[in-house]
Amino acid sequence: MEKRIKVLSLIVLLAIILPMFFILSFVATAQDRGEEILKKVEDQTIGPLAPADIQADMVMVIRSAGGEEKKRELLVWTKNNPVGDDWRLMKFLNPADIKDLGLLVLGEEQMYLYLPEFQRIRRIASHNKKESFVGSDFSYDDLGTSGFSAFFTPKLKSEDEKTWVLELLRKPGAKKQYAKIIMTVDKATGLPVRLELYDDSGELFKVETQENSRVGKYWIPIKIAMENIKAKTMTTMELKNVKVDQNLSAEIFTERNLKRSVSR
Amino acid sequence: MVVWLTTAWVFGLMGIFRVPMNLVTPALPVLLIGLGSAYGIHVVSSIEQNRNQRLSKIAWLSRSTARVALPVFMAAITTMVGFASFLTAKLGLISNFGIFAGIGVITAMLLAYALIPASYYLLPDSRSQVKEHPASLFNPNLFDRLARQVIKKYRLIILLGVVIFIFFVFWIPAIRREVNFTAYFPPSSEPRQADLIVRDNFDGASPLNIYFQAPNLRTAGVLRIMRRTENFMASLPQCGLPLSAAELVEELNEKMNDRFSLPETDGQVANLWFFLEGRDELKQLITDDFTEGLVFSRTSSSRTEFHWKLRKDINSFLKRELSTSFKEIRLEGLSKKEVAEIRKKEMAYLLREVEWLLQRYAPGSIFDRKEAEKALQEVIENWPEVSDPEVLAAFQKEIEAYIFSPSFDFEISQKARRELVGKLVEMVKTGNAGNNVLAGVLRSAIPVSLNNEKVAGQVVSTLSMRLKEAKERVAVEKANQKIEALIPASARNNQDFRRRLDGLLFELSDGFVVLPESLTRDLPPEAMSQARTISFSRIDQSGLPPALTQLDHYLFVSQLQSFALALVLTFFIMLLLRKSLKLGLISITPIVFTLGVVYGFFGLAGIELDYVTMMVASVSIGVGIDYSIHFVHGLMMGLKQGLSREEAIRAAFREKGSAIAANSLAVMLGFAVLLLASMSPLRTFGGIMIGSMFLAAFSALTLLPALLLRVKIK
Repeated sequence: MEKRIKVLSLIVLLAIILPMFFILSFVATAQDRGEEILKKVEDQTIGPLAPADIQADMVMVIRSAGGEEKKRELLVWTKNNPVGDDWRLMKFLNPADIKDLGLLVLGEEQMYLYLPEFQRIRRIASHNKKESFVGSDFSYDDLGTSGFSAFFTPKLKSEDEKTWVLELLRKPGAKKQYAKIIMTVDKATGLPVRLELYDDSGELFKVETQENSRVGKYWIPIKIAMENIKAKTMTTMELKNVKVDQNLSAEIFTERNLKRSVSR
Repeated sequence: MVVWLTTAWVFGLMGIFRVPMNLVTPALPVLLIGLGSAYGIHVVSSIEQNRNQRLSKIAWLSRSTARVALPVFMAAITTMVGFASFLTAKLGLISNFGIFAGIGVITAMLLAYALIPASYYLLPDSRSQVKEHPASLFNPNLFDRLARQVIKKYRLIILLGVVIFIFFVFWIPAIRREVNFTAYFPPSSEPRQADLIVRDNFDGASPLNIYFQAPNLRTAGVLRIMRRTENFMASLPQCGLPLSAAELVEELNEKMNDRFSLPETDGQVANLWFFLEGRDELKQLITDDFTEGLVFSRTSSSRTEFHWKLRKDINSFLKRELSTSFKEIRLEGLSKKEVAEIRKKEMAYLLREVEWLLQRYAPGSIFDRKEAEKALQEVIENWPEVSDPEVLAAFQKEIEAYIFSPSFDFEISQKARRELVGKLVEMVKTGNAGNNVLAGVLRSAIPVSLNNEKVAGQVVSTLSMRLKEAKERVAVEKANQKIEALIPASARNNQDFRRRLDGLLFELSDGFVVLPESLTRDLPPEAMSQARTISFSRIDQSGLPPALTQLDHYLFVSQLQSFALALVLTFFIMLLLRKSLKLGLISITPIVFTLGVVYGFFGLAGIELDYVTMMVASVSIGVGIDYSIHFVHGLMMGLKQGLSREEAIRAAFREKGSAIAANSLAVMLGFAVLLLASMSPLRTFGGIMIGSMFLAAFSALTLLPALLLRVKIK
């Protein structure tokens, strides 16, 4: 009798512990997989598999809730920085009243704006980064170049034949405006195709979608759309005349060059 | 039954026609119940009083009903006319109330004629139980006694009536009008408490705006006009600090360029606007196409009298300052004398804004404007030159920050940079600061290998801009020093005032001037030939204070119109039906007396006239005239039967007195229900109507018979 009770107790204990072990290991596996997939994404976007540099024309269309559209034309240069944040320079061409206005991003805390009418460069404070860029649905933070892994903990949420879905949760203390991101990654390109951005209250704030295209040996996001769910506005950024691996000089990504007048 | 059916049908009709309920609607069932029961009382009273076993049931009922048909009809028509007068009201909710109350009155009358006799017909015949005295709420002897007293003392009654009337009418001009929705809520209620908190801590909750419409509001010139409007609104008492797109641009300019002022070119405005795009507060201040914008403020007071003053002051400002077009003048290329002349005009124009700001930051203080003008004229006449030591010092500081920064356009050694700074300062010291001169200095400092004409051009442009800014900064400092002593201490020590004052002085010192056309007529033709004109399609005040004052105006006009219409129509109906001018006039005397006393009481007791209590006159006329109608009818019936005037009056008291008293009691009890309303205007309305109905009935049973005795009637 006593032996039977002992055996039964052992079976019950195993019945409780084993599933817990499997759940925990599944969670651990999900997180590992998430990190692995995010690394794949970042390798393509800002890591060793990304183009060394990109130069392109960009057209930004800002659509209001009422359907009116505003168009901005820019020139964009990006340089991959394997040991730090990527560098990015944006110079406006159109409309005429903001021609030569420029934005230079050298790092998470290093963003500069050039105002041609005042002939002054101003550094943007980090608390401004949540603000809208040129009245678009992209914030300055959205246009930063530092990737996700430094600020978010990824976990594989689900997958199907064509995509992985990652859940990225903001790390404690990370100065990012989104508490959670649901990222859908295309398995074929290794690039995100959809990002659902959630605010601090857990509500869906914005949805970013990407169309990726082949440029040389790389997959590049050619068209990015950001939709503000609550405001019912949308901004699209489309790249044209994309050139990669042009061996762009570091001199391009300087405050000096930020001031230069540009034309196509 | 009459009452319930009437109420149900009227509200059913409101539902069919989708007429919404509002603040005034709760008074409707109360009114219909009172009126419906009044007609019913008279019909029942007539039926009961004329019980006659000798007649068939149908004959008895039809004869009884016929006896009251005319007075009930007249009462209903005059009451309906009283409500019909609401159709002149500009407020939809008042005119709707009038329409449905009128429908209710006619429905009640028809139902009283139809349902009551029909019900009596269907009930078992109780005429064998004829009582000597039909059931009555009041002792009939009471009215006999009253009749005797009135007949005996009719002269005294008339005299007392006149004295009381004159006394109360004297107080009518003291009536105050008030349209204050928050006061309608009980003091402990959430809306009232919230309003108090917002008023005490956040400059109030009532929005007050000045609306601008123009082809493009996002220009340097237009923004200065909006800023001027802001400064005017800042001077208004019990109003919060105003906000407009101009203020946002000033704030941004302060962050970017250390000056809380509006930039001098449209391009600079566009550059700063880059940062404002997408900000939520911008959407509340200007449309996306920049054609419509607001200067927004709030007021903490909800008093109608205050709102009228505010509206008047703003209208006066709009007429005086903004009903003209404006000129944008560029000072570049003009002679020193011409520049000084224009600056003096601008200075006098901007000093008005300083006065407004002082009304806010140092209220009640005295600002010697003449002295300030004199002091600033001195600054203008001794405007800083590029060679002044202070200008040079400021210029040197600026260009050192520029040339020694990593972003300097030419990559030259530190030594070369120091030499460049030195050469530039030396050259400017001699008074030579033109672009060609600066370009020459630059060329001499930059190695040929690095020289690039386009880049050099950009550098020269930047240096020139920095020099201009240095000059402006020094001019502002000098101006500040000159008028410092004239600024009251409380404003002087206020950081917000200081930055606004500096902003105005920066605008005085820059090369861009905006003036109303009337001030530019005697300016140099050369300056005016290039001047651009600014004009607005529309400038209006909007927000709660103008809306409430307009409501108050409608209230006043509607009150007068409905009162006059009700009285006149009622008089004509009486005249038509009685075919006697004297009788028509005497019939409306009790109600005129009642209204004189009621409205005089408003003034005496400080009861404010609002859009609920404004209905007192028309409702009182419509309902109160019923008592006169019934009494006069009773009198005429007696006179027709050959009774003397005194006997006829006694008969009228006997026949109608109880019904009139019961009628007025029913109506008063109906209005008494409103005393339990949660909204104060309904309680006030209910209380006033109780008093009004009592007075109307009392004067119909005292003053009216007294006048009928005094005046000869055929």
